This record gives sequence, C-alpha cells and structure tokens, in this order.
Amino acid sequence: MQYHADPTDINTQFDAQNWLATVKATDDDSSGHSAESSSGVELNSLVAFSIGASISYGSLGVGQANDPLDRTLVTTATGNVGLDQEHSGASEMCTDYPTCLGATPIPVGYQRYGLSAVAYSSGTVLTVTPVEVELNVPKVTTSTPTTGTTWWGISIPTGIVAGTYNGANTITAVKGEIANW
Amino acid sequence: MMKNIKNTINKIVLGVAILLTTSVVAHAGIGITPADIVNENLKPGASFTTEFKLSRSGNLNEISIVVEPDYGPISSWFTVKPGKVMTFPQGQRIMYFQISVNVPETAEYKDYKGAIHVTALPDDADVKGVMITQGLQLNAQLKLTEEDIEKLSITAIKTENVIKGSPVKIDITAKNEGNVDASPVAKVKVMDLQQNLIEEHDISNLGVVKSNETKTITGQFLSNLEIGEYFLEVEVFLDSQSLRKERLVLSVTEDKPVVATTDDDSKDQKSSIQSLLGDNQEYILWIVAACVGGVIIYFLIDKLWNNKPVEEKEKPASVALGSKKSTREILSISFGFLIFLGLFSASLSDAKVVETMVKDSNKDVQGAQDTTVVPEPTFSVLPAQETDTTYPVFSRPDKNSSVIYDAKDGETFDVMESENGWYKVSLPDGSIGWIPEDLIKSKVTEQAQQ
Repeated sequence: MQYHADPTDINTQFDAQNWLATVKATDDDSSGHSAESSSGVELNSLVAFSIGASISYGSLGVGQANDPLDRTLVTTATGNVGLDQEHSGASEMCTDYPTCLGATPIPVGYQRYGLSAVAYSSGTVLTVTPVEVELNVPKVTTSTPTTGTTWWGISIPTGIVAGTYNGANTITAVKGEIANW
Repeated sequence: MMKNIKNTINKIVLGVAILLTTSVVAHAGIGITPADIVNENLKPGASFTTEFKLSRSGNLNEISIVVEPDYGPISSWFTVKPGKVMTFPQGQRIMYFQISVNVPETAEYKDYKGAIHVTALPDDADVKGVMITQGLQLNAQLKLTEEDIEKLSITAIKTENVIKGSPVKIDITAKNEGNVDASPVAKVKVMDLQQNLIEEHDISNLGVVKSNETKTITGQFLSNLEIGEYFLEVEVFLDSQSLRKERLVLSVTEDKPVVATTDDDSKDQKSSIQSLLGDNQEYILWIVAACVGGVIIYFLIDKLWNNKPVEEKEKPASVALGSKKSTREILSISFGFLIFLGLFSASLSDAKVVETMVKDSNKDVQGAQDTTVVPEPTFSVLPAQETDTTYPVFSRPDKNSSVIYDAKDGETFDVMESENGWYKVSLPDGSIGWIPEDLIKSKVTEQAQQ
C-alpha cells in the first residue's frame, strides 16, 4: 500500500488547491492543443503505516532493565502524509495476559521509550493514556519507504516471579505537523 | 564447582521475569482516509455524516476494529455506523464505516477540538511479549457559529445523450458545507463543434441542497437540436456567484418510435402483438388472402357437385375434381397455396422503385463534410439491408411535422417529386409522405463514391 499523491484537504500543504486534469491532443504534424479541467478534485489525506507486530524485551532478571533502551520499533509511512505517533499501553503485563489473574503483574509504567538509544532513566514512561511522540516520519514521495524508529526498554521491579510476561501496547499513527512532512 | 554451577542456574531461573522466544513479526499496513472530521459552519441541531475508508495490506485475517471518540463531554454527539466495534472481514482489504455528528439544540456556540481513535485489534494471539496494536487517529475540529454561511461546491456536472426532441438533462452533484440551504441555478450554452452558439438556457428550478447534504440535482431544457454532437457549456451559480463551469459533449441521436410504457402486463403483451403484426403485415395479408381464396374454392366446388348423382361423383375423374370432401380440401388448400406463391412472386418482381434508404453516418457528426451527390429520381434498385434501423417519413416537408411512417433501412419508395431537399414518396398504404434527402443515397451516389 503506497500512496504518494499530495493531499489537498484540510490540514495539508496544499489545502487551498485541487488536483486538475490536463488533456493535450497532438496530430501527426505535431500541432496540438491542451485543455485543463475548470474545477479539480479534492484529494483526501490517507494516514497509513506499518509497524512491527511485537516488542521482544528478551530475558531479564529482577532489578534488571534494557539500559540503555535497546529494543527498536520501526514505523513505515505508507500513506500520503507525514506521521507522528501516539504511544499507550495496557495497564499491566502478566503471565496470563489479558486476564491477569495469576502472578503479580508488571505495571505499564516500567516500560519506557525514546527517539534514540538513551539511558533507561531518560526514556519516556509509557502510560495507559495515549501520548503523542514527535516521530516526524516524512511523507513518502518515492518508492523508497520513509521510516521512523523508537527505542524501547523495560525494568523488572522487585517482587516479580519468574515467568513469561505478555502485554499489549497501542501505537497510533497521527497526521504530523505539515512543516515536518 | 558443581555447587557454584547449581547456584548460578538457580539464580537465572528464579530471576527470569520476561522470556521471549518468538521472532519479531511485521504487522501489515493499515490506513484511513480522510483523516479529519472538520466542520466549522455548524449550528445547534445540525448533523452531518462522513464516510471513512479503512484499508489494509498483508495478513488479511478477520480482525476487530474499534472506533472511540476522544472528545470529552461531547463524545455522545458521535455515532458510528455500523457500530463502534466492527469486524474487518477475512480476505477483505477495504472496508467503510460512517461517523455521524449530531449537534444538540442546546449546544454552546464555540470551537470543539478532539480526536477519534480507530484501533485494529491484533488477531495474532500467539505472539508472545508485548503485542503491538495498530491505531489511527482522526483529527476532529467542530465549530458552532451563529453566522449564516453559504458554502456550496459542485463536485460533478454530467449529461446523457438524448433522442432528438427529448429534453436535455443536466445532473449536477452539489455538496453543501454551509449551514443554510442552497438553491443553485445554471446557465447552459449549446454550441456546435465549431463552438458557434446555437442556444442558451437558464435553469432556475434545480432544487434545494440542504445544509451538510451532498445531492445530485437535475435540471432539464427543451431544445430544437438536430441529430449530431454538440458542446454544452454548463455554469452553476449561487447568488450570482459562479461555482463551476464545465464543458460537456452532448449527442442527439435519431428519433425512435414512442413505445407506450405501462405497468399492465396485458397491455405490454398487446403492444408486442401489435409490433409483430406491424413488422410482418405484408406476409399476414398474403396468408389471409390465400385462406380466403382456398375457402371460396372449397365452397364453389362443393356447390358444383352438390346436385350431381352419386354414380357420377364416384368416377375417378370426378373424385379428382373434388366430388369427395377429402379431394375438395386438397384442391382448396392447393389453390390457397398458389395464391400465396403468386403474391410472393409478384413482390419480388416489383422492381420499379427508385430510392434506397442507406444510413449516411457522416450526418451524425457536425462538422463532417458531406460529399454526397444529390441524386435525381431515376434510379435502379439497391438490395435491401436487413437491419433494425428505422427512419422517419414525415407528413410534410418539415422535420417538425408528424411522423406518419417508420421506414426500414434499405426500404424502397417511388419518388413522386423532389422539393428543397425533400422527396415526396408513395408509401405502401398508398398515402403520401416526405423524406429528407439527408437520409437517402441512391445507387448512383453509392457508385459515385466508389
């Protein structure tokens, strides 16, 4: 799914313009005439992206963390606008996700993210409420995809028993600020 | 040494909080368009609906889509069709849903900003670790204003080919993004292909496009356009302000006989029978004549033998001449058949007709040069062509006069005289009709073109 044509609807670079069609007819003597449609077509924005299906934090002991943040999540813009994104997570990770009736869960706030491989302590705390991240993935203009990367990590709090913990984070694509397309 | 190893292993096992063995799986792409819900011309009580197209690629398993307005206290203004939780069916790449905004009558005049979150819940439940749920955000920007705002846009102007004499229809698709109803009008210029103005029409009764409504309105006008192609320059106005001007191509096609339309099946059936009779009228007349002749012969022979003695009737020669009922029947049927054959032969030998209807395709397009030589009415017969095309024969040398006969392609007529581009002809029923010369080519003309 790729969609390169510039949108002309609201909150875009060309919201005062429309797409017009020009037809040029040329005869075998190379004489020709062209005509342009009087009223154009409004091309809507398409917010579209693809992203990895999961984050694998690896094996960690109690008190250990991905420090610096070392798990990457790549966002690829596939629509016709530049993208930012919002991050949020389920309230907790647990061994029997999503029911979470078993062992002590890991609260969402132990996950952190950043726009580079910063120290875990410098990462942004993941919350249940979506928070916008200025990822600034440029609009696609060629067949080469444009991407943005976020770095992720988790710290294992004390009192957590051994096991495989699962959870869910939501990454929401947001139309970016026009200046960053 | 063994103790150290055992302690180390215990520590690792007890300390494992998260163990992920699955490889990272890439999600398929997902997208939505349009990406905004914007309406800055709302009034209390207004409502509007926006349709969204959700698309995806890659894995096409069935997934759930959740639409959740994040608009604080006015989230209740939003309704989602078919519902806030929808199914993206398996194998389908595109689905549509609608979000309607219903502004209460008590709403306050101000700006409202918020967002609507569309979330695609992953179906890959076997993925371990932190699953990523993909979401898309729609920006929402609403404004309630006391000001009356007219904002009508014309998104399409279309016309369709018409049969000569029928009204020309113009379909105009209008989108009213203002907060008052709009009644646009249109001006139509009809031009030939050399862009010479032929007719002008004002259409003022296009109808009303209500606030936040997208609607196709239709206007029509009657014209005297001949068969051919024309330019229509359609300009739509609202309060004298031009909204859109479009140039269209209109084709006026040949006349067709008016077929009565009715919901009554029996009438339809009757029309079909009448049509059948009309198409084969000549043959039916021949059959009737043959039957009548056969019946007359039967009764004549019967009368002839009625008073004869029985002995004479029994003679072989008498039997052959119809003294018995069975031979009378054979004789009368044979006679009827001979009548039919005679009429059929007579029609084939009727070769004194001088004109043949051949469609002149150049005449359908304006601007084409017609090099046809006007023939004099002293011609021989061209073979008739088996087509369904019909041509009008008029009561007077005037295309506005009534059509009294539909001539078939290739049908021939006796020409009585010619006058100002018209031929006066004798019709099969003996009446007189007029045919315009642009429908006629003689054999001479055909040969001249070769």
